[in-house]
This record gives sequence, structure tokens and C-alpha cells, in this order.
Amino acid sequence: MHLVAWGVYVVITIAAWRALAHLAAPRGMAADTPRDPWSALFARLWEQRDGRMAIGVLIALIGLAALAPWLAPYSPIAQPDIVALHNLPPSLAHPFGTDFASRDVLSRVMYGARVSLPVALLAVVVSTTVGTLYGAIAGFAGGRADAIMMRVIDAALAIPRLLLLIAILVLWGAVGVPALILLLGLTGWFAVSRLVRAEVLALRDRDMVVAARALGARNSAIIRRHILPNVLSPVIVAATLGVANVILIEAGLSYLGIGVRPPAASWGNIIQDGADQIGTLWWVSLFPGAAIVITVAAFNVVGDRLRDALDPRQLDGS
Amino acid sequence: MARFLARRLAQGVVIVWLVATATFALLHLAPGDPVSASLDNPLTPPEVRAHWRHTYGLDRPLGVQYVRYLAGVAHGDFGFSVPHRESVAAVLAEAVPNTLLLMGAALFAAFAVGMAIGIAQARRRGALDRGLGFATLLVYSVPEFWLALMMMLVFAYRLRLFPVTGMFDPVMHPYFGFWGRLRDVGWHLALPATTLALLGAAVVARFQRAAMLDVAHQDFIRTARAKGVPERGIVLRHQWRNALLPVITLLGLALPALLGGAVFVEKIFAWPGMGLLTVDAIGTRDYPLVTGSVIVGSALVVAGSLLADLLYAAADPRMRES
Amino acid sequence: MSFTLPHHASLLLVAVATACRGGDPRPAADSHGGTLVISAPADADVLLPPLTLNITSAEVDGQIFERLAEPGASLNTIGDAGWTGRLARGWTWSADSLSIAFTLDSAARWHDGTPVRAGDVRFTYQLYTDPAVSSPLRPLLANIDSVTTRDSLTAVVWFHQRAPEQFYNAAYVMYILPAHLLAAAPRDHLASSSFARDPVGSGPYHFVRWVPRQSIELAADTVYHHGRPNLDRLIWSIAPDPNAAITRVMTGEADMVEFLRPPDLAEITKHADLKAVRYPSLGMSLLLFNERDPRHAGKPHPIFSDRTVRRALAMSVDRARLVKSVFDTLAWVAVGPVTHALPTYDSTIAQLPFAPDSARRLLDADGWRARGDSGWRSKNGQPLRFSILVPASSTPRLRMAVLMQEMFRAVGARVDLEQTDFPTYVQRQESRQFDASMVAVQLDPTPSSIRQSWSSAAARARDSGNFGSYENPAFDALVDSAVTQTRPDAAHALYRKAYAMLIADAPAIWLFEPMNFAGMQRRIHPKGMRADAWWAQLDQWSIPVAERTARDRVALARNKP
Repeated sequence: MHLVAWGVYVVITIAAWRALAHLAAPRGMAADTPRDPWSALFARLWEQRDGRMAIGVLIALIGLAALAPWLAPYSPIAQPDIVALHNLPPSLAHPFGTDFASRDVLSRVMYGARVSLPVALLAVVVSTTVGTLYGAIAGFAGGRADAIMMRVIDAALAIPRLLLLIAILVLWGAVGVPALILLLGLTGWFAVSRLVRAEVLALRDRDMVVAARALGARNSAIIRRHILPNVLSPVIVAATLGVANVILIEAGLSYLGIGVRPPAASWGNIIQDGADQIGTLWWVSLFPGAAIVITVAAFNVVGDRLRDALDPRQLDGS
Repeated sequence: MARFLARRLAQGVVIVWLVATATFALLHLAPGDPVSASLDNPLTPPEVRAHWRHTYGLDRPLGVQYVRYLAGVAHGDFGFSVPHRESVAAVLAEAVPNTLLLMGAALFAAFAVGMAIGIAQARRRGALDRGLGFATLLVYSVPEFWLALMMMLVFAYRLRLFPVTGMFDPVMHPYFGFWGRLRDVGWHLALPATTLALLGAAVVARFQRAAMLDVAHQDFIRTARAKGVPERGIVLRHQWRNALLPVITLLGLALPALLGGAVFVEKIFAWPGMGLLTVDAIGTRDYPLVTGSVIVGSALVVAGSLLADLLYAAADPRMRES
Repeated sequence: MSFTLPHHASLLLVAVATACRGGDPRPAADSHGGTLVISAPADADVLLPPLTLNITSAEVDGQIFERLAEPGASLNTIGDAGWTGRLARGWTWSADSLSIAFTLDSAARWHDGTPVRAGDVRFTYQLYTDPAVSSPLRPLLANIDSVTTRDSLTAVVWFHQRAPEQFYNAAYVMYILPAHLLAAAPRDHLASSSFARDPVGSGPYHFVRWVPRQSIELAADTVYHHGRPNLDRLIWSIAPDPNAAITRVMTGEADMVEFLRPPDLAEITKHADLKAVRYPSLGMSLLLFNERDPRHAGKPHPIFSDRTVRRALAMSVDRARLVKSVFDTLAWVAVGPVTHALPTYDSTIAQLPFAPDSARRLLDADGWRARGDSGWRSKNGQPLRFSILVPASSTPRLRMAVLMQEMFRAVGARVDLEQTDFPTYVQRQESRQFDASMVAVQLDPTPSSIRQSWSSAAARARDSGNFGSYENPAFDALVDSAVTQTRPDAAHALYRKAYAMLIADAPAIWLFEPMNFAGMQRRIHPKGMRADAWWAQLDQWSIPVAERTARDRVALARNKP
């Protein structure tokens, strides 16, 4: 049963890889055929070896997380034998070992991806949306409204995000995962709004916008048609890097015991399980830690390459 | 210049005021009463509870409490911390220097090492660049608490090179002479500062490299090269100084991260700084201390970013007349 | 990492053999010296004995201050058998046993040089029982009517009635305080008085300094009336949590830590300069149910006020396996609110069995039905869902809570774990803001202290140990009879009946009693580690001259800052 599932997983991953490669550089297409900007962007991303590899890692991870219920060798919360099967070092039966409750660490890490990844992605969706709207409105409005809105952002940036999150999570006690996502999202939109505002300010005075206004177009239409598409590029970069950041923050909060709570596994709280016996039970903290590093690194690389690819000055890459 | 400073100071005050208000609102919105949480249990007779509420001015309407609090802060009175049995100002006065010491050491090392790496990467592209880039990427992607745990495990526990936790030897410190105490604190500072510096250096290196590469393509560099200026001179005199500007901006952004983000390092190494203090205060519902700590922290951040802006203005001749 | 049995047995043998080595001859007078650094997992809260129940405070106070007399190793609290005088040279009972006259040692001095007088004993009693002071120990002195002075060295304690533990109440509860230094202190703000910041007692060590959250330092009183203590200095090095406390001993930054966990024990055998010393203890852990609703004051708990539910939950937990998994062989399954060190311990008391099928049937019959395919039970709209409060600082309790969570799931009870840091945990527990709590208790050296934790009076009192608000008049009556019974065997029988009733009512699930191992440097030679206070004879611990380190040789004279 598992072998079949793993086989399917490998096939799907390779197929996805091939599909993306084809998307980036369809065979038989001349090198300088004009393409739409998104397709060109993706092609540039794919060109770089580390960009390709990072995307590959992310596909593999997302596939792993999505198919975990079929791929994981054991249940992540079952405790088969808390006396005989606990604290086992890595072996063939348990590639990542077992923890103090005889739970298979590999399965927990795989299921942990199902929590850590969506939480980070959704949180970033929230923060990007709120930040973009706020920044666009501030930049577009200009004048006093803009100044006041930006002071608020300055104040928000002066409070360390981690402390704010710890304060809210400790004071209000246990919150569910949806509330956690909202909290993570709502504490992370400030930098994005600054970015968007800067872009909007630059764009506002461009000819086509001035012309549109002269022609009497409504503000919302202008924002939608002229400003947002141009703002999207730096926002996408910020979002990608933001996902990496949120994964790290969520791991830290879960490590402190105030993020995702047991028995649900998230990479952060698996590390906590092994933290104070790190000398003897190293496998419980090492593998989820490695998973975090790999995932965060992959997102960072994709974000960097996106930034390079979107830069009008075309830095030479390799 | 003076007008610039005055405007920024005024803005800074507004920011700190906004932060104080937000913190006040947050704490009073939270379930539970600051007094009931830290002083009594549900079996306390209502008269005693009322007495304590009155002593702390909690029976007044929220607006009045807010104004009284602000008035106190303006005089430097941040209230009284019940768990510490001391005024908040006294508790903070103990912790702020410890945080500044840790932060200062970490920032200094992070920028020194990070800038060197970034410059080295930009100068010699190729294998060194890729290798250093990979290393900085990995360090950049490691969670702070995990790095702290690993450092403690390897250097303090296994290799016994450094002390495990704390800021000074709890036993011998009062008996050391001046230099002995300096050495003691330095030895305890090593691991937490190195952890923060490693993470910071990775960030700075990435920024510095990108900034250097940005500048490399600009006209004046190409002109200098055409004029025959040796490569080293170009890098050191022209490229670096212009690439400094984004890095200074980074300094301004790094401050809140270090002030509050050092929570994990302070917790794991038991370094008695503001991060640890604030987290413990949140845990014991010590609201006056939480508010005071956040206010002082944000004031430091505002001061830091003002400093960064001044440095920016000093470094960039184009900014000077504005 | 689990241990193989022979390895463990040898560990135990080594530890027990070491502990039995207490027959060391007292070192020669000119070999005084040495510094003992005690790694404490938590800071003291206040160093005034009437005001604190904190363990670090108790350890420090036990060296600065003195009781009238100290119990023997067997911890007998009925009558005065086995007790030795400390501040008192001796005592005589009146013919009607309604008063005891303590004769103070004429050589006893306060650390400022003033001689100790009987008036100090009278003053101490008045302070402990003053309502303005709000001492949590006050109920223990209820049987004492008054303290008078016959002459400057004789204090007479008068009792309301004869009781088996009247000597214990008179001698053990109070640390004698100096009247001349405390008389003027404001009674309701004693904790912030100048005396609290610089306490003065008559004990073997005097106070030097306390750096909050870092260290507490004491120095030997060279003219102590029982003889100068062996060690020159005692320093409590305060670690942020139990893990850090143990690590400090492993790395040599501290000399001893009072509690080792199973992985630490294995680690110690790898260090040639460390040893594990086993000693009896009064510590145990339990999962306490709160019978009052923490969210609505005055209302009973929607789940735990129901005795059937509590019993069913207790039967769904396999305590033997829990203990084996978390502690291997280094802890016993707790049999009730009692430990091995108490004379009332009885491993044959009827326990609630591990029977998850019976538990499910009980819950079904009580109306808690499983709904849908999740299997969670509910009754009249109230889900069988609760949270367990556990301090992040205690790994064994944390792990046990995770294991129990799974066991509760198997019977349809949905459990959330609420992990908080230690100060929050203490505050939540004392203010009774929890559903269920993983409690670690340090029992008193007398079985009668069960009243503080389980009596109805304690349930209604403000500063008591009955955090779960358990009330049962039948239990109260049993305990009252036990406490007033003068014949030890009859008293013990009554206590056991009370334990059985408590177990049947299941106000808590009694989990484990850890075997106590102290970790210490080999050069430390401990003595007299009693179950209620391993520090009871700290003034007789020694470090042989040949084994002293640089830290030990810091001269006594340099103590005054």
C-alpha cells in the first residue's frame, strides 16, 4: 500500500517538474520569441540552477505534505508502546527514530509539514492583502492622510513582532489554528505596506496615470488597472520571503508551547519534544530542524531569484 | 539640519505615544484584570479586591487610567512591579544595559563579519561567492532558537569552552576585581552574542553583496575602471562606500528585531535582558512592567533609526542638503 | 533511551552505598572551610519564614534561623520521640501535658551578637499568628493558646488541648525570630521591611547578600552555639529552570542539585568527578481535578464535580506503564496522598484499577455518549473536553500529560494541554484558574498535613493547598479522628481509611513518587539528608582539605561586601 503511494508520489513529482520545465522553455520555441511577462519571468527563474532546484524542493515538499496521509508509514499521534518502543534511535523501521511517546518522528515531520506550510502560506496571503491595500490607499491618497497612516506603520514597526505575538498568545490563552493564522498575518503586513506605498508614489506621477485621471477615470479603476499590476512584482518577492519568515516564527512559537499545540504536530513543537534531552535524543530535534532549514532556504532562494528576475537592470546571475 | 532633527524627534515622540496607547489598549482588552491576575484568587473577599483595585487606580474609567498613566510616564514613573517588588523603572534600569551590551556586541560582530563576507563575495565571483552564498543561505534559514540550542550543546555542554547560562558567575563574581569581572561577563557574553551575530552576519552579507552588485554596474564605476584605477581601489573606495547606504538602512531595520527578537537567545542562555524580562512579565501578568518595557524598547528603536538616518545622511552626499 | 535492568540495579547500589556512607567522623577543627554551591531551579520569594512556602526560601531560612527542636530521621510526629534540641537545650512537659517548657541554650546568639531570649520565642509566636501578617502557616499553630516566659531562658508553650502532635506544632512550625529587630516592622508589609532584605537569625549561617534571580550567599557563623559549621560559605546559584540547574552541576559551575532525572543519572556515571546520592523524600505528583468552575465563580465544574466521571477518568489511565515509560525504574506509582517516607505509607490500599472498558461503561451509564465518528463524548450539550495545566519547566510532567492525553482519547475524553511557564503555572494554580493540573507536591513530614490539601475548610480558605476544592465531610471526620488519636498504630489505621476514601472519590489521579537522587561533586560529603529537608544538617556537610578547589579557598573574611 505504501509502496504504491510512494510510487505515485515520485511519478507525480517528476511529472510536475517536467511540466514546469516545459512551461519555462517549450521545445521548438525560438529563444527570442516575445512572451507574456509572467511566462518570461518564470523562464528567467528556471534558467538559474539554484532557482530550479529550489522550486523542485518546494514541489517535493508540498507533494509530501499533501500526500502525507498515504505516504506516512505510521500515524503521527498513535502511541503504540510507550515502554518498549519509545526513544528509539533512527533505524530501518523508523528512519527518523521515535520520540518519548513511541511516536514515529518521520510521520510526525511529514504531518508537521501539513500544518507548518499552510499556516505560513495563508498567513502571508493575509498580510500581503492587508499590506497592499493599506499601502496603495496611503500612497494614492497622499498628503496628511498618507503621513498619518505612515506614522502608524512606524509605530507598528517599533514593536517587535515576536513580543507582540507572545503577548497576545499568552494573554488570551489557547487559540485555534485559524486564529493563529490571522494573528501571524495581521502582525506582518507593515513592511509590505511601506513597499507598496513607495511604488504607488512612484507610479502615481507617471504619464498614463495622469492621463487616466484627466480623462475622469475613477480612482478604484486606476488602482486596479494601472497601479496594482506594477506593484505586484515587489509584493510577490516580499510574499515569498515572508513565507520563509513566518515558518521560522511559527516554529519558534510552537517551540515555546504557545503556537500549535499537542497532539497536533508542527515542526516547532516536535523540536520542543526533544529539546531538553538534545544530547541523547538528538534525532527528535534534528530532523524537524533540518526540515525547517531546507524549506526556508528553498523559499529564500526562490524569493531571491524572483527579485533578480524582476529587476529591470538584469543583474548577471551565476 | 536642526529642522530635520526637530522634525524627526517630534515624529519619534508621536510614535512612542502610539506604541504606549496600543500596549495599554491591548493589555486592558485581554481577559482578566491586571490586579486579579497578580494578587488574589477567586476566594478573596470582594472588599479586599476592591481595596487593591482602588490602590492601583483600576476603579476609575479607562480614559482616566490612560491619562494618569501617560502623565506618570512623562515623569519617568512607569508604575510598580508586584512580582519584582520594585518600581518598573528600577527593574528596567537593570535590564536595559544588559540588552544593550548583548545587542551592541552582536550588531558589531554581525556587521563587521557580514560586510566582509558580502564584499568578498562581490569581488571574486565564482566558487567563493557560491560557497559563501550557500553558507549564508543556510545560516539565514535556521530558526534562532535551534541555533542557540545547538551552540549551547556543542560549545557549552560538550566542549565546556563557555559557561552554559547567565551573565556572570553567580558564585565568584562579587569576588573578582574589575578586570576579573570584565572577563567573567565577556565569557558569558560569547555564546549568546555569537548566535545573534551569526544570524545577523548572514543577513548583512546578503544585503551587502546585493548592494555591491547593484553599484558595480553604475556608470561611475565603469568610468573609474576605464581610467585605469586599480580594482582594489575601486572596490574599497567607490563601490563599498556607495554600497554602504542600503546597509545603513538595514541597521535601522535590525534594531527592533534585535531588541525583541533576542527573546529566544535570552531565554535559552538566561541572559537577563529586556526580551527575557518582558516575556516573563507577560507570563506573570505584570502589566506595568510589560508596558514600560515596550515603551522603552520602542524609544530605543526610534533613537536607533534616527541614528541610522543621520549616518545615511552623512554617508550620502546627495542627501546632505535635504 | 531506556535502561537495561542490570545497569540500573548497579546504579542504585552505588547510590545507596554512597548515601549510607554517612558515618564519616567529624573533621578536625582546623579543617573548616569550603564553599558549597547549590544549584537551585527557582528563586526564593521572601526570606522571612512566616511568609513563605517556597522551597528555596525554606532551604535558606533553615540555615539562617533555627527551630526549637528538630525531628529525627524517622520523622515521628506523635509525641517527642526522636527529637533533638536545636535552639532549645531541652524541654519538660507539664504533668497535665497542657504546656511544654523549653529551656534555651544560653550560648545562642543572634548574628548581631545579642543573646537569644525567651521573649524572642513569645514574640515569634505572636508574629506568626498575627492576622495582619497573613501567614499561611497560621492554621498549624491553632492548638497553641499562648507562649509565656518563665525567665529569660525559659519559654513555655501553652496548648488548648492535648493532642498527639502538640510537640510537633510547638517545635517544628516556627523559626524563632529576633524581637529586638522585628518589633518595629510594619506587620502588613513585612515582606518589604528592611529586615526582609537583610535577615538576622541565630542559625549556623548568616546572611551575606541576595542578588535577585541570580544568587543567595550565606557565610558561616564562627561562634554558632553548636559549634562552627564545617563549610565556610553556602551559595544558592539560581538557574532559570530545572534543566539549567542540572546542567550547571554537570559543567562544574555548581556543586550540587537536589533532583536528577533518569537521563541525568545515566549521564552522571560518565563523569568521574560527580556522584548521585539517593535520599528519602516527600515529593510526589498527581493530576488534580478542579471541582469548581474556573470560568464562573461559585458554580461547580461542569465535568469534574461528577464523581463518576472522575473515577472513570482515573480508571482509563495505565499508571504503571506511564511511570515505566517516563521514569523506567526510578519512580514508584503513587498509592495515594502519601510517600514511602511517611509512617502511614501502605502499598496495599485498594486502588482504582486500570480498566478502560469499565471506564467507558461508566461514562455511558452516566450519560456521556460518544457522538459521530470522532468518538468524543458529551452530555446535555457539555462536551467531555478539558485542559490540563502543566508547567513547561517540568519535562516528566509534560511527557506524562501527553501520554495521558492519548489514554483519555481512547475513552472519548478530549484533552487539550496548556503549557505555561512556571510563574504563570503557580499563579494559575493558586488562583484556581484551571480544569485539571499536573501538580507536584512536597508533603509535610506529618500525615496530618493532609488537611491542608483535602479538607473542606481548606477548600474554602484563601491560602491553602486544596486547589481543587474537594469537600467531603465524611473524609473530614476520619481525618479529625486520626489527628486526635494518641496511639500511633490506631492513628495510622485511621489515616489509611481516609486515604482509601480519598482514592475512591478520585479528586485526583495519583501518579508517581520519584526516587530522589541528588547530583553532587564527589568532594562534597553530605550528612543527614532528611526526607522533609535534605538541607537539615547542612552545617555538618564537609569537603576534605585535600579535595578543595580554588572556589573553596576564598577566605571567609572577604565576605562582607
